[in-house]
Amino acid sequence: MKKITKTQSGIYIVALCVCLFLLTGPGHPVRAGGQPVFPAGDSGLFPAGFQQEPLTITGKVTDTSGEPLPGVSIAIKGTFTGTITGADGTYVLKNAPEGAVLSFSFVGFKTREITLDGQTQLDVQLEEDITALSEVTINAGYYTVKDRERTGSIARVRAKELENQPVSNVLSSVQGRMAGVNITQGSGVPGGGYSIQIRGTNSLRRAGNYPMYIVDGVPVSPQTTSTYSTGIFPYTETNPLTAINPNDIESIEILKDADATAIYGSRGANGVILITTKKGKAGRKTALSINSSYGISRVANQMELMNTGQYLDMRRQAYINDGITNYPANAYDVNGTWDETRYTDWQDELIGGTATNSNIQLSLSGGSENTSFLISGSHNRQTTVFSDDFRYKTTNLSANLSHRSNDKRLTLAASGLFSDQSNNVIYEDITGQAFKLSPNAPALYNEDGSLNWENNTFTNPLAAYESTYSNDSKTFNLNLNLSYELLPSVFVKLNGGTNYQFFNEIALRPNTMYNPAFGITPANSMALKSQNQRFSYLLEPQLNYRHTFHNHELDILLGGTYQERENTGLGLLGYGFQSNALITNLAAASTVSISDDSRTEYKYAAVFGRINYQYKSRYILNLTGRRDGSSRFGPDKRFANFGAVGAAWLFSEENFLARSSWLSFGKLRGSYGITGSDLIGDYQHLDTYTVSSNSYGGSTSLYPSRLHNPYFSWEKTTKLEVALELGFLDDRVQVHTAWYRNRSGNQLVGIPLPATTGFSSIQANLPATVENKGLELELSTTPVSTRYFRWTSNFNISFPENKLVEFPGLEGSTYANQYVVGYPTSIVKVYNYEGTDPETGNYVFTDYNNDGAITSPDDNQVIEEVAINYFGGWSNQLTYKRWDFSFLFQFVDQRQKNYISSMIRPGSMFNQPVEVLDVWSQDNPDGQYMPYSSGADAQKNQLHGYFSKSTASIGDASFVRLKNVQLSYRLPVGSYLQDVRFYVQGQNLLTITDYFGVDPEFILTGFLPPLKTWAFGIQLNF
Amino acid sequence: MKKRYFYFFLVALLLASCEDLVEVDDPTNQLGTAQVFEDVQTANAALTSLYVNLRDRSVITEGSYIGIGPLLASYADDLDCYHYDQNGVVDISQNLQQETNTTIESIWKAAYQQIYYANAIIYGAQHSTALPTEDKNRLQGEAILLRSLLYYYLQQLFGDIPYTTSLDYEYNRSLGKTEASAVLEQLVSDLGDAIVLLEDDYRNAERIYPNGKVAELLLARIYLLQEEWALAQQTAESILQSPLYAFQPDILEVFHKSGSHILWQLKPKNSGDATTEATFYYFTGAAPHAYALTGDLVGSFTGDDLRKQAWMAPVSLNDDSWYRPDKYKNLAGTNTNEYSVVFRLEEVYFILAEALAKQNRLDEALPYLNATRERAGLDALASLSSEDFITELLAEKRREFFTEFGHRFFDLKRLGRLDELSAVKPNWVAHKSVWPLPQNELLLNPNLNPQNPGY
Repeated sequence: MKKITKTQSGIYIVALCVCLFLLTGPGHPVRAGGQPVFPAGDSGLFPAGFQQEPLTITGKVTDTSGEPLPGVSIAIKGTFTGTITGADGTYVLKNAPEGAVLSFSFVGFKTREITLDGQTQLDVQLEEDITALSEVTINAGYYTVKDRERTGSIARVRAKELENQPVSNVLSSVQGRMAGVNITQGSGVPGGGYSIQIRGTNSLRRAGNYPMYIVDGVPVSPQTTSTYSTGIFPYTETNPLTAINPNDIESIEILKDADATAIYGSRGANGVILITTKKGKAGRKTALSINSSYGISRVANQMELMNTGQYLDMRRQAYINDGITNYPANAYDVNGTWDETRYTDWQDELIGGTATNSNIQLSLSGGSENTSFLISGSHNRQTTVFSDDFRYKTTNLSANLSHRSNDKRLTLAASGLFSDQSNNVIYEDITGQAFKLSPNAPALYNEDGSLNWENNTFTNPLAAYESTYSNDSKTFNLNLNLSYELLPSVFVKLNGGTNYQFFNEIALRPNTMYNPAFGITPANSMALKSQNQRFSYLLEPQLNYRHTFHNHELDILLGGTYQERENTGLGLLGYGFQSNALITNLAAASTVSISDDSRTEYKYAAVFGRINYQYKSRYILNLTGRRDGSSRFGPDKRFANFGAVGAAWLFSEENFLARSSWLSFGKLRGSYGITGSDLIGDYQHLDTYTVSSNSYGGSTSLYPSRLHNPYFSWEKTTKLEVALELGFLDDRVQVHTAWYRNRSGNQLVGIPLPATTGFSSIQANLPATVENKGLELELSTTPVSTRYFRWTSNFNISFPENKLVEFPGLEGSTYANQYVVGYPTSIVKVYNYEGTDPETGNYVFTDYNNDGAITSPDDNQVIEEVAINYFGGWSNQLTYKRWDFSFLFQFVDQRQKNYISSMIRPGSMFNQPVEVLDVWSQDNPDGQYMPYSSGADAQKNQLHGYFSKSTASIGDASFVRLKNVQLSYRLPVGSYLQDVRFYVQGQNLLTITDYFGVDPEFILTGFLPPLKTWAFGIQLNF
Repeated sequence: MKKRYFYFFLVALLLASCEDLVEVDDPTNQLGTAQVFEDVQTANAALTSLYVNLRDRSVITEGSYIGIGPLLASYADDLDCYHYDQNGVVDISQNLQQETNTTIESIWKAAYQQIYYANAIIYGAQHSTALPTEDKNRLQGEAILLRSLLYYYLQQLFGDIPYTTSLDYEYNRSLGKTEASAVLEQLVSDLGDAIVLLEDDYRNAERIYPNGKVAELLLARIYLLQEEWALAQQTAESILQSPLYAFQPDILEVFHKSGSHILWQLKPKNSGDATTEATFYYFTGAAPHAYALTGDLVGSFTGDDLRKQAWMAPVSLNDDSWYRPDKYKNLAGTNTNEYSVVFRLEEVYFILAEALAKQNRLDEALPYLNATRERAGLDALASLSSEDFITELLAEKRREFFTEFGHRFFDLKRLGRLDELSAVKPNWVAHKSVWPLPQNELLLNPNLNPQNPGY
C-alpha cells in the first residue's frame, strides 16, 4: 500500500474537514462577520400568540437565605428571549408579553416558572435543589448526559470539593472521593507520579494499567518519558495533570464501565479521566478573583528506631553470636573508630525538615449574553523536606473563550493552557538512609562547614545533595470545540486540539558527591541532559442528530478521530570538566557524547458512533462502538473493533411508583461491552538494531533492540456492569450501588525470559485472563438543610476483587512461580514462618517437601494476597451561614509487604526498628527475631533471606486517614471588593494504622512518603 | 440533498480509517536488522556494541562490581573487601554467596546477553548477501572468539552451563545445562573456527581488537584445563613464535598500552579517560572503602621484588596502613598511556611452563617460570621437583597476575589446590569451587536444575 507521509495525511484530514464545512455551508451561508444569515421565513422560531403590549419586568433573584444570586437565567418560555441576573441578583427583562411564562433557572437550584400577571416588579426566591439530579449534566467525553438518564458508570468530583487544597496535582484531592478509583501518590517529593487504578489492574504490565487522560477534549499522554529520574521518582513516573492548576478545574469525570468507555475503544480499558477546566459564565459581570495561600508540610509518619545504646548492643551481640572477638576494620561503629556515645535521629536530620508551599492565583472572568471568557494565572512554589535549596515551581496560564451565535446555532469554545514546571531535587532519594544509618554515625558537617567523611569511614548521606536532578517542562495545550446546528436536530461538530510538550532534564553528577579519598576530580564530573519534545494533534469531526417525537428521543452521534504524535528526543552526556562551576554547560565538558537522538511517531485513527434511544424518558438504550487503528502494532494487527450496549430503566417514573412519597428516584441500569489497550510503546513490533553513542575505538555501536515478534495484538477487556440508583425523601438520601466484572484477555505483556535468550522479556500476547470484579456503594445524604445550616455527607466504599481466571500453560511458563489460577495477580509466594527454634533461636520455616532443606520453589508455597479488601472515603460538608467546614476520611483495608520485606539482616551495620529488639534468647524464648549476626554466619544470612520472603514479611496495612480538613469563612465587604474568603486546609493530618513500616499508603521503600500539610489562604473576589 | 452530505461524511470517515493513516516512519534511532548486515560500517557498529559491553559492564570489566578481577581476588586470597553496604560483593568476598546473590545474577545476565549479541552478529554476517567475504570472516571470527571467552568464564565460574548458538528464544528459554567437559570440547572447536577466520595482523595498531593469536591463547588455556599438555604447549609456542610479540623487559612498561607483549587490550571510551581498574582501586589518605590487598599477598613478595614498588601503593592513616593495587596509575583526565590489558604475553610463558612441567620437561619449563622473576629483580630459580615447580609456579603467577581476571582462583582450581584457601578463608568449603546458578534463572527455566551441589 502506498505510504502517505505525515504531512500528506494531515493535509488530507484538514482538507476533509474544510470540505465538510463548505459542503454543509450552502444551506446557511456564513458571512465574514460571523453572523449567520437566515433565509426569509426561517424566523418562525418565535411562536405566534404574544401580540399584546410588551412589558419591562425588573426584580431580584435570591436564594432561600436571601443572598443575591448572580447569573440566573430568566427566559420567556417558548422563545429565545431572556436575560441573566447581574452580580447583585437584579435583572431587567424587556419585551415580556402579558401572560407569558417566565422561567428562572440556575444550576443547583430548582427552576421556577411564574406566569406574568400584570406585575412589573418580580422578586424571586430560588430553592436550592438538594441534588439537582435531573439538572446535573455529566461530561461523558464525546457527549454530555443528564445524570438521571445516564446508562454508564461515571464518577464525578466537582470544583467545590477540590478548591484550594494544598496540593499541586488534583489527583491528591480526589483520593478517597470516588468509588472504584484507587489512587496512590508515588512520592512525597513534589512533581512525582501517581498510581491510579480504576476498578483494579487489568493488565499484567504496570504501564498497561494507565488510564486515558483527556483535558478539555484533547488526550494527553499518561506519562512523560523521563530518563534520569529513576532515583527520585518511583518508576520514573510523573503525571500529566501537574500541568493543570487544581483550582482551574471545574470537574473531573472518571468513566468506568463499558457503556462509558467503549467509545474510547482501544484506549478505554483502564478507564478514562476527563478533566474539564473552568469556563466563564455567560452574562456574568466581569469578576476578578485573587487567591493566595501558604502551606507547610512535614513527613506524616516516622518509625521508631533503635537508639545508640540499643543499636550498639545489637552490634556487639551480633559479633559475639558469630564468634568474632576482633571487630573487623570496617566495623567503624563498634571498633572504636566512631564515637560510641553519639546519637543522631537520622529521620529528623535527613527528612525531618519542613517543606513550604506558596501559591498565588489570579483569575478574571466575565461575559455577555453570548460570549464569555475566563483567564487565569497561577504560580506555585514548593520546597522539599530535604533542604530548602530544592524547589518545585509551576506557573500555569489558561484562557477560555466561549461564544454562541445570536440564533444559538453556532457554539464555539476555545481554550488554551500553558504550563511551565521546573523541578530541582536530589538525584537519589535519601529517605532510605534515614532508617538505616547507624545512630552513632558521625556528624554530617565538619566545623568549617564542609562535608564530613570521617577519614573515609563514613558515606555521608548529604553527599547526595551534590548530585541533583532537575527538569523543566513546558506544556501548551490548545483546544477548539465547534458545533453548528446544520438543520434542526442535526449538529456538525469539530473537536480539535494540539498538545505540545517540551521536557528538559538535567542530572548533575559532580565529583564532590564522592568521598575525596577516591581520588575523583572534576575530570570525572558528569552532566547528563535530555530534551524531549512531543507534539500531537487531534481532529475529531462529528455529526450529531437529536430528535424527539412523542415519547421517543433519539440521539445519534457519528464521528472520526485522527491523532498524530511525534516525539523527538536528544540526550547529551558531558564528561570531564575543568571545574564544577562549569558543569551545567556542556560546552565546557572535555567530552560530549550524544546518548540518544530519536524521532518516533504514533498514529491513531478511528471511527466511532453512539445511538441513544429513550422511550417515555424511562426506558433508555445506549449503543456505542468504535473501530480503531494504531501504528503500535504490526501491519496485520493494526485494526480492531470495540463496542458496548447499555440500558437503563427509570422505574420510579412508572405509574405504580410515581406518587411514592418515600422513593423519589429509582433507576436500574446495566452495560456490557469490549474495550482495549494499546499502551505498549511505539515500534515494539519492529526487528531492529538501536543506535547507541557508546563507542569503542571511535566507532559508534548498534545493539539489538528486542526479541522480534510482529504478531502481538490488542489486549481486550470485556466489561459487565449492573447498577441500582435510588433516591429517597426528595433525593435527600441517595444510594448508588454497582456491581461490575471486567475480564481482560489476550494479555499483552513482556513475557519474562531467562537470560539465556539474551533479553529479559519478549512482547507477546498471553492467553491469560484477568478478572476484576467488585461492588461499589455510594451513599449521599443531606441530614440537615435549613436556612442557615446545611450538612451533606458522602460515603463511598468499594470491594474490589482481582483474580487470574485462566492461564493455559501457566505451569510450564516463566510465570509459574508468580501467578496461581484462581488467585489475584498481586499474590506473592512466600515461605511459612513458624517462629524461632527453641534451642538455637534460628528462624523455622515449614519444609513442605520434607527434604530437610528450605528451597525455592518447593518450600515457598504459602500464597499471600497482597491486595486491597475494601477501600473508600467519607466526606462531610457543613455550611453555617458564611462558615464552611469539610473533612474527608479515607480508609483502606489491605495486606501489604511490611518493613521486614526490605529489612537488612539485624546485626549488620544498619539501624533497625525497635521491634527488632524482640530477639530470641534463653530469657526470651518467644522472641520473633533470631539472634543477631554481623553477616559472617552463612546459615543466618540464608535464614534472613527466607525470613524477608516469608509470611512474616506480609502484614496488615489497613489504615484510616484524615485526608483533608477545611474551614473557611466568607466575609462580605462591599460593592467593589465583594467578599473575602479565609480558609485553613489540612492534608494527611492523622493516620490510624497497625502497619509495620513507614507509611501504609506508600509501601515503596527508599522513597519519601507523602507529607502532612497545613495551609492557610485568602481569596479576594472583586 | 441533505442526505448527500451525510453519506459524504460517512465515506470520508471510512476512508480515514484506511491503513495509510496509521502508517508511520521508522524511528530515527533504529535500523532494520537485515539492513545492519548489508553494510560493513553498520555491521562493524553491531560488533562494536559487544566491545562496549565487554568494556563497560561484563565479567571482564576489571574495575567494576561484576568484574571477576576484584570479585575473584577477594573470593580467593588477594583482596580484602571493606564494603559494608554492597551485600552481593561482600558475601562473595566472605565465600558466603547464595543463589539469590545479586552480583552473581548480574554477571550471568550480562554474559548471556553478550552471548546473544555475538550470536546475532555471527548469524547476520553468515546470512549477509552484501558483505565482502573478508569482512564476513572477521566479524564471525571476532564474535566467536568473544563468545568463547564469555563461555570460558561462565564455565569456570558455574561448572555445567547452558550453551547455545541460537537466536531462537523459544529454544533458548528452555535450555538445559551442558556438562563442563562438553562445553570445553565445544570451545576448542569454536576457537578452531575463530583461528581460521581471524587474521594474525591486528586491524588496529593499538591492539584493541583481538586477532587470531588471542584465540590461540584462549585455546591454550582450555587445553590446560583438559590436561592436553602437548596441545597446550604447541599452541603457546605458536604464539611465541609470532613476530608480533616480544617479552617486555621493563616492569614499568607492562601496563602501558604500546608494548609488543600485549595481545589484546580494551581502550577506554574517551581519550584521557582512566582505565576502570585505576579508578576502582584508588584510595588515599584514608581507610579503604572497597578493596585493599591482603596481608597474605603483600607478604608473599620479598622486599626486593620490583613489583612491590611498581604495582602496589601503600596508604596509611593514623597507625593503620594498607596496600592498594596500583598496576594502573592514571586517573581521569591524565591518562594518555594506559589501556586495560586483557591478554599479555607473560601468560603464554606460564602456560608453557605448566604444560612442559606437566610433561615432566622441568628444565625446559624453568626459563619460562624465571622470566617474570628476573624482570622483577629476583634471582632465577634453580631446578625443582615437579611438585615444587607447581608450587613455585602458583606463587609466581600470583605475584605477577594478582587482581587480574581471576587468574589466582582459576589456577588454584585447575591445579587442585583450592583447599589451601581454607587457611585464610574461614568459610571455605569444597563445593564453593563453583558458584550457585542464579535462583531467578532456575525459576524462569527449570531445565537448568539441579542447582550446583551445596547451594
